[in-house]
Amino acid sequence: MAEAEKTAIEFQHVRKDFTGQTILKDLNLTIPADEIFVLVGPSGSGKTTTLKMINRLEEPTDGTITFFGRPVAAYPLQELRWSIGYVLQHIALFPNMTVAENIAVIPEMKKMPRDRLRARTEELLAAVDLPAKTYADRYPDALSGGEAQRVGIVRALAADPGVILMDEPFSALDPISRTQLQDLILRLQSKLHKTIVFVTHDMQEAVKVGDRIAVMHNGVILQVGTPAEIRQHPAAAFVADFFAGAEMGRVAWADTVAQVLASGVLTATSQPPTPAVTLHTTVAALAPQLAAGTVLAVADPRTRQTYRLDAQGLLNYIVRVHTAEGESNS
Amino acid sequence: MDIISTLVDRRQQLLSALGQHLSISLIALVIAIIIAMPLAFWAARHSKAAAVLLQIAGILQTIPSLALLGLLIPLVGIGTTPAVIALVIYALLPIFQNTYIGITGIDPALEEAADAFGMGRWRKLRKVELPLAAPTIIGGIRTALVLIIGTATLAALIGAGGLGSFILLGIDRNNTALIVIGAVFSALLAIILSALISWLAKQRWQWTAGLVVLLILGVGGTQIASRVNQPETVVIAGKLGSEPDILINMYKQLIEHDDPHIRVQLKSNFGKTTFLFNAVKTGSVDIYPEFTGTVLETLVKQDRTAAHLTAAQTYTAARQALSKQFQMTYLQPMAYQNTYGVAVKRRFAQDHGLTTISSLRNVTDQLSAGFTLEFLDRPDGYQGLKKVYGLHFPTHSFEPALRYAAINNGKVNLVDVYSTDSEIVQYKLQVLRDDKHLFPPYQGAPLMRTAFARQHPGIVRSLNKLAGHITDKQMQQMNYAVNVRNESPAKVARTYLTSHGLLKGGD
Repeated sequence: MAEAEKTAIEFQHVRKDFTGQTILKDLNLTIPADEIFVLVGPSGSGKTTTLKMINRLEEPTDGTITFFGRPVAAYPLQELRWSIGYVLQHIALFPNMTVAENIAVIPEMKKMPRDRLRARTEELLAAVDLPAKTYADRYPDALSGGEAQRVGIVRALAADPGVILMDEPFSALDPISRTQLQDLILRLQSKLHKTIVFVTHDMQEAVKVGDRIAVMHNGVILQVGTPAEIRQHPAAAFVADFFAGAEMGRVAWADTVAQVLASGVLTATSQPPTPAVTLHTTVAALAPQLAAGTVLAVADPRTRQTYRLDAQGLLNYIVRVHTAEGESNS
Repeated sequence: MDIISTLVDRRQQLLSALGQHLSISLIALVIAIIIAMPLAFWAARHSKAAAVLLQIAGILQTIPSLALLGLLIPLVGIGTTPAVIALVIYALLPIFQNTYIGITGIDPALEEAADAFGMGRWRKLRKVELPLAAPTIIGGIRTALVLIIGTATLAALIGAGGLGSFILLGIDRNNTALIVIGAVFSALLAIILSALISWLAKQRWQWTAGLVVLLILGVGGTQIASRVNQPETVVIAGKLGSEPDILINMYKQLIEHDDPHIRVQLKSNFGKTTFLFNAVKTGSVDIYPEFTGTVLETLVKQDRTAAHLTAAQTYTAARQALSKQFQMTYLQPMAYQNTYGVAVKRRFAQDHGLTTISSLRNVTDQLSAGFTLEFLDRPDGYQGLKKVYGLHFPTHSFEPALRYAAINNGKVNLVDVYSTDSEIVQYKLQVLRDDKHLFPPYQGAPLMRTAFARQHPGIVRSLNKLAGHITDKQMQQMNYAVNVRNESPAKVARTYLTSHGLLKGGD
C-alpha cells in the first residue's frame, strides 16, 4: 500500500538579501518527510542559507517557509528548534562539557528524566560505535574528528527530533572518516527514518547519501530529483559538469595501490618499501600523506620491483585514468 | 633586624592596615566586576558601543591616581568612599576588556550551535559563554586585583588607611623599615590573592559564591558593628608629619579626658593642606590643626598678603576670613611659631659667610635647592624668594622628608625648613635669617566648622587649654623624640600634657 508522500518542509517564493545583494531568488522547494534530502552546490550557491532558514538561524527577506504545514515564524522559536536536530560543519561540540553533557544539552532543556536520558545516551553512543563506558566522560579535545562528529550526530538525535539539519557535516573530516560517517548515516536512517536535510558541496557525497537531491547554483535551484534522474537527465550544462567532476573524482579516490601500480606511471626506487602501504590501500587513505610531501615506496609482486609513490606519482595516475576513460568513452 | 623589630612593635597596626587594605581592595574589585562584566556582555552584542566603552575605560585608566583622588575629594569627601571609587575606576578596564575579548573570542560555530539548539539567552550565557570565556575573564580580574592592591597604597593619602600609611609614614620619618614593610606586605597581598583567584577558578563556582557572600557579610558586619558601637565619634586629622601627629594626639587626649563619652578617631599623616581643608568643609573630618599663615596664604581669598603682619594680626585676619568665607571657627593658637625658613649646612654657611637670606646672592651660581612642592609654589615660598630677594637658582622638588636626606647626601645644598623641624638639629643645618621679612608668622590652632563648634562647646573648651602653650624649643624636642628616637606621638603628647598639668583629674 503506497503511503501518500508527506511534506515536511516547504519553501514558497523565498528571497534572501544580504547587505543589499540578493543571494536567493524566488526559491520554491518541497522537502518530503522521512528521507534524506540533499542540497548540493558549489560554495556561494546559497545552500547553507537555505538550510539555516528552516530553524530560523536566518530569516527570509520575503516568502514563507512551512514546517509540517505551519509557517516556521508561527512556532515559538524554542519549540521549533527543539524539534529540529542540527549538525554543524565545524562539529562545535561544547569544549567545556563532556560527551555525555554535550548530548544532554537539548534533553535537559526539554526536562527529560535523568534515567531515560542516561539510557538514551548509552543507546545512541552504541549506535555510532562509541561505547558509553569509554566515551561518555571524555572531553571533546580527547576525540578525533570522526569521533567528534559521531557525537555531534548523537547530540542532534538525542531529543528524538523529527527533522535533522546537517550543514556540510563531513567536509572537515579526512576521507576515511568521511566514508565511514556517510555509511553510518545511511545505516542509522534505515532504522530511524528521519527527515534529514543535508547540505554538501560534494556531488559524490550527495549521490551516495541522498534519496533526493536539489542542485543549487548562484541562489537558484537548477534541478530536483533522485540521483539516478539527475545523472541520466541533467537539466542544465552546469548540472552535467558538476556530475562529471564528481564521477572523475570518485574513480581516483576509491582506487587501490594495486591499480596505481598496474597503470605503470610510477618510477622505480631503491628506497625500502613502506610497511604501512599494502596493495589494498586506497588512494583516499594515501592522498593526505602525499599532499604533505611524504615520499612512500611500494613493492610490486609482479615485477619484484620497488616503486616510488609521491604526490607527483599520484597526479600522473589521475591524469592517466582520466585520459584512459575519455578514450574508452569516445 | 630593624625590619623585624619594627614588625613586632607594630604588629597590631600592621594587622589593621592589612585589614583595611584588603577590604578596600576587595570591595573595589567586587564593585568593578559587578559594573564591568554585565557591561561587557552587553557590549559584546553591540560592537559600536563596545569601541566607545573601551575608549572611555582606557581614558579613565590614564588619569594619574593621585589626581583622581584629588578630584574625588570635593565630590565625596575623604576616607574609604573616594578610595574605593578611584580603585573601581582603575579596575574597570582590565575586567571589561578581558570579558569582552573572552565573549567575542568564542568560536562563532559554538554560538550558532547554542542558538540552533534553542538555548535561551541566559542559558547560553551560563552554560556556554561564561565557562568558555572564564579563563580570559579570570585573567582580567587578576590583573585588576594586582592593580588595585598596588594603587590602594595611595588610599592612605586621603585617610582610607591601609598599607600605604606604613609607606607614607616611612617616607616621612625617613624610616626604611616602615617603607619596606608596607611595600612587601602589599606585594604579598597581591600575590596571595591572585593565586587564590586562579585556584578558585578551578573549583566549583559554589565555592567562589560562598566566599564572596562570606566576605560581603564580614565587611558589612564589621562596618555596621563599628557604627553601632560608636555613640559619638569625633574625627580629627592631621597633615603628614610628626608635629601634626603629636598635636592631634594632644587634642584627642584632652577631649577624651574631659568627656569620656566622646570617642576621638585620629587620621594621622592625612596628606596635604587642601585635602584636609576640603575634608573639614565636607564634614568627613571634624577638626585639624592648621597654621595661621597657611590660612591667609592659601585657603582664604584676600587682598593683602600676610607678609609684614605680626603673629597676632595674622591670626585675627585668618579667623575673620575663615568665619566669613567658610563658616569655620578657628580656635586660639599655641605659642610656637612654625614659620618657613631656608637652611644650608652649617659648614657651607661658614665657608661662604652666610647668615641671612640676602647673603645668598653672593653664591647663587653654586646653589642647588631642594624644596617641597608646596614651598616652590607659594607666594611666600620660592616665588617670594625670587620677588623679594631677587634670588634665582636651580630647584628640585622633593617630598618633605626626602629633601633633608638630599641635603645630607650633598645632592642639594639649600632646603626649605619649618622652624620646628627636628632635622635642623639632626643634620646640623643653619637657618638663614629672613632679613626682609618674607615669611609670615605661622602659628598652629585647631580649625573646625562653626556648626560643629556650636554643637560641641565642651570640645572647644578642652582644645582652648592648649592656647598659648608649647614653645618653639618644646616643639622641636617633641618632633625629635618622634622622628629620631622613634617614640610614639601619643606617648610624647601625653608626657607633655601631664608634665604641664593639662590633664588634671576629671572636673
